[in-house]
Amino acid sequence: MSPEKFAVWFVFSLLALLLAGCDNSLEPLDRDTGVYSIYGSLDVNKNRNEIRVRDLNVPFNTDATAEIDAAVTLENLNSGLVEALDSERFFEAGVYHHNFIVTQNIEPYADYQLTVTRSDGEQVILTTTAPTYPAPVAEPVNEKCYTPIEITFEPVYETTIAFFIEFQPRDVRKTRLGPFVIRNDSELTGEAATYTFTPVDLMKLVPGTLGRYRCTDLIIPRFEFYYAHYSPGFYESIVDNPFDAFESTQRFGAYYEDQLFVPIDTGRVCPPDCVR
Amino acid sequence: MKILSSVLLLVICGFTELRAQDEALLRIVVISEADGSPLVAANVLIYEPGEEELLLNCVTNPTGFCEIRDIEAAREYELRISYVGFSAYSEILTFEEGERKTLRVELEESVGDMGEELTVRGERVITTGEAGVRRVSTVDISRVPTPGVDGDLVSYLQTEPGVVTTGDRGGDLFIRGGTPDQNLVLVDNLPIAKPFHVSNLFSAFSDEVIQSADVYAGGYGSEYTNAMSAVIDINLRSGNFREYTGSGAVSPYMVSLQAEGPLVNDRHSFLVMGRKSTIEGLAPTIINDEVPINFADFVGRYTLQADNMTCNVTGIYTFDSGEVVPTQQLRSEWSNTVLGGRCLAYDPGLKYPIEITAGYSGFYNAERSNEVRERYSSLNQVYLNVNMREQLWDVPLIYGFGVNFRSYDVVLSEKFTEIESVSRLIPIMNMFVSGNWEISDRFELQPGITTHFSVDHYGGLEPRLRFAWKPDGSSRQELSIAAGKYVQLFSGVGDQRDVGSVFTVLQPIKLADKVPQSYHGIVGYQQKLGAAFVANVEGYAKTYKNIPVSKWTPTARIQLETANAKGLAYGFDVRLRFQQSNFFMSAGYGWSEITYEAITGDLGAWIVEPIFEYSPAHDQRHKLNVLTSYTFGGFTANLRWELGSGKPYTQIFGYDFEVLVPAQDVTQIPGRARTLYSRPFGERMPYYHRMDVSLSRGFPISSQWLLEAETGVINTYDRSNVFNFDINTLQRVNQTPLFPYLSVKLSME
Repeated sequence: MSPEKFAVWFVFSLLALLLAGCDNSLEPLDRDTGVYSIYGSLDVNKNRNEIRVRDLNVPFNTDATAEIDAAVTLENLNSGLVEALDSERFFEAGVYHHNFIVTQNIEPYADYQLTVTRSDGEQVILTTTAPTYPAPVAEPVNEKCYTPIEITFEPVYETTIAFFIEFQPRDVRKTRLGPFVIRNDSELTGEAATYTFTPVDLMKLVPGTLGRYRCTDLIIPRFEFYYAHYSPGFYESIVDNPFDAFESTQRFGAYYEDQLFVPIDTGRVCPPDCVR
Repeated sequence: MKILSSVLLLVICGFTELRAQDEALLRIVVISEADGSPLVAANVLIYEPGEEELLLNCVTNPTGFCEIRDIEAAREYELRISYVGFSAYSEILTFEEGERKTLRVELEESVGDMGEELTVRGERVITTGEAGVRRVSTVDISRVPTPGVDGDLVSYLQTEPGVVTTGDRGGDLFIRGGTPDQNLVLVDNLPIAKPFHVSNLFSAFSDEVIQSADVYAGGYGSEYTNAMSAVIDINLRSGNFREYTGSGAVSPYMVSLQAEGPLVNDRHSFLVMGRKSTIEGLAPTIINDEVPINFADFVGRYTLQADNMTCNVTGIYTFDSGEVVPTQQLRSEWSNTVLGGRCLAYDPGLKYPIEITAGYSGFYNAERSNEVRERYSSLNQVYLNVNMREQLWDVPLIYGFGVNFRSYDVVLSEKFTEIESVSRLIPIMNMFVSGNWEISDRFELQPGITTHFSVDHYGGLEPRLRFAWKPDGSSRQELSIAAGKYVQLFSGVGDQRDVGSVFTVLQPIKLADKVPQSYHGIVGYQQKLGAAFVANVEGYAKTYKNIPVSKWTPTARIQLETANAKGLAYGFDVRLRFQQSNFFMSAGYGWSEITYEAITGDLGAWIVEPIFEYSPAHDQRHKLNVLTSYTFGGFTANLRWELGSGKPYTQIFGYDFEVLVPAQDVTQIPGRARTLYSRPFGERMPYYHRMDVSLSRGFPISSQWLLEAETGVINTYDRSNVFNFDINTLQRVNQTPLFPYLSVKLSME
């Protein structure tokens, strides 16, 4: 490069730097990626559900959170019913928190779309499919401690069922085991989700008994299943810490909780219990 | 073990005479006639009487000492000594066989005599043009406008391309890609962790106390260990050996007092200086804004000049406290305490001079909010270093060893997080050898090797090489190359997402981790045009490996958990310097790029790529500096203008209250507050530019008293340069606005 060319290049570069120096703007907030955080669960068993919506671009202060620029609707995609959700707010930790109220009944195995719209048209849309509501079947019941019992949920659809098992042995507090998880990843309907257990295996897990308890040690002759049935992916979003910042602010799904009691025969099984 | 054996052998040789010596030896101490203080970098030259062909030479070190060996006995020589601003000295000498002659030469000051240009380089005295090295004089420092009558080293350093700060607060210097913990700062060979004040205009080193400073932006020799990126080697000046002097200065930023004088004439002297900031109280009046910073420093030096020994004892104390980002309500504190001594013995009974340094350095830094200390990290060091010389054929060698006991203490506590702490004492041994081989008038080679190890880690061998080539045999043109491997056995971890947080966790490298290391390569070319103009171009590259970086979490906090990253820094600098009579101008432009790379999962960052590559917060691409100084009618006018491109920062993705539905009821539970970061360092700040001006003059009051006054303006055109933003309120935090000042200093001469 000749000295003249170098001089021209140098002066041009200097001017470019000076021009660049005129811009003094700073945008600390990434407005393009984060719009709203949404935390809501649609309980199939309830006729009123609440969904927390927060404007991610609003700092933690009272004035900025007094109102929320959001219009929220929930649409049942199967029936076409669109519900515009009213909001309620409460004040805690120095800021207002806005909950949007769902008053429609949540139908099992229906698709729902939640739409949160900002006044400038920016939207966040989340969808979920409510879980089916099968009556679980336990077979066989009223059998002895060593007989395996299978619990079947049918039909289910790409779903997760999480449950605790409770029972009351003698001399100790009520035992609670779990959570146990049944997953069915099939996208086909009509699939079954099953869980099989043998009562004696659960009795051996009673804390402080060194595995010596059997069904004869039950005060109430049954095992109680308290389960929650979740929409696809909802349970996973709760228990897994999402690695993605955006996903971690979008926790929306449907579920219901129920229980199933499985009666068993607490009579002695001999052998093997009689040789203890 | 082989190295250890070799060094021990050299040590033994250094103290004993293994062979008879026919050649003579000249040891010389050059001091100023005015105050008896040593003159550093004076040229000591030996000629044939009346001839101009240089036979032998040396350059004085910070104690004014140098030695010339292998002088042929039984003939006459002409000794000439030159030093800028002093009259040249000449004397005819003769030597007997094996004679070890020690001379003490006083040079007279000569106003207006610029003396002979530096043409000789010597051990630990670097002339300009060597790759990666800048020798900073007090004159250089005084040209930078600062709101005090005296100049300050850190203000000058920021005019250098490749030296980056986070803004005008914080006291952190990033040198050519390196982070502050990767810099080694030495004062009279004593390490000091962070001598830079919370206001980036000031450090503990006013030009009143400095004799010289060598700034190695990379490629430094093997005598420096346990620093991965840069070295700032500062020598304080001795107190006046013949007269008592003192001064007091007042400025809006600080008040200072200084005194020096002989304890025993020409033998013992002292120098003390103390400074205390005043800006916190005065800023609301001057600029109608809060400047919540407070700092102080004290520097004391005792010097002994015996016949065959020079010793100094140095004590330094610094204290800083301030809100780097006032809206954060987070006060940063740090303090340095240094006490140590250095002795250079050159008794005729010693075959070679020996230099011994020993002392203590303490440093702590902390962060507190609401009067509660939340985090604390300290490093206390006790050390002993011995440096010696030897000659292998015609190649002078410097070699040495040392031991450094480092005690780390870290206590981290933060609301809702568990307290994690580290408390360890780690001894580190080091040794080095370095040669200075003048192959010819045009080629000079400085190979070296060093190593250091602790109970936890061995740093391995670190070869270093410096090379200089003068195409025409003069100093008008010079191509120089520096390269080497650099290992560090400790690390500093800060919250790299927040430039407002200057708290640094200093910690030893964990046993299971690999030691951080770096390779440097620098190529520099210097061209002098006439007597007034010097141009210097340098290209450099540094690789970094095993750099501990703090893991990212959604909320800002300090954790001891780190992930290993590797990095690459490269760039080039162009410097132009013009000086003619009463006008000085320099311009420097630096371009650089710094990238770090780490496994995403290790970092905890919310990034989908398996390997995350990013530009850290100190990656400033462009930096342009202009510095001018003009003296007229007794006045000195200085101007500094700086332009820098924006540095990376991390945007806020959102402010959230996380609710664990359905377990938590949204009608009852507010959730866990969390500020979420976007892609780390995904955006850049706007450009920064600022002009500072000053005008000063001295007014003699009497034959003994001098009043110096300086007026000036920092940020003359009131540019709103962004420093940071408050992540909780999104409020923009700017650097210092237009700041006028008037400073006065009264000196007793």
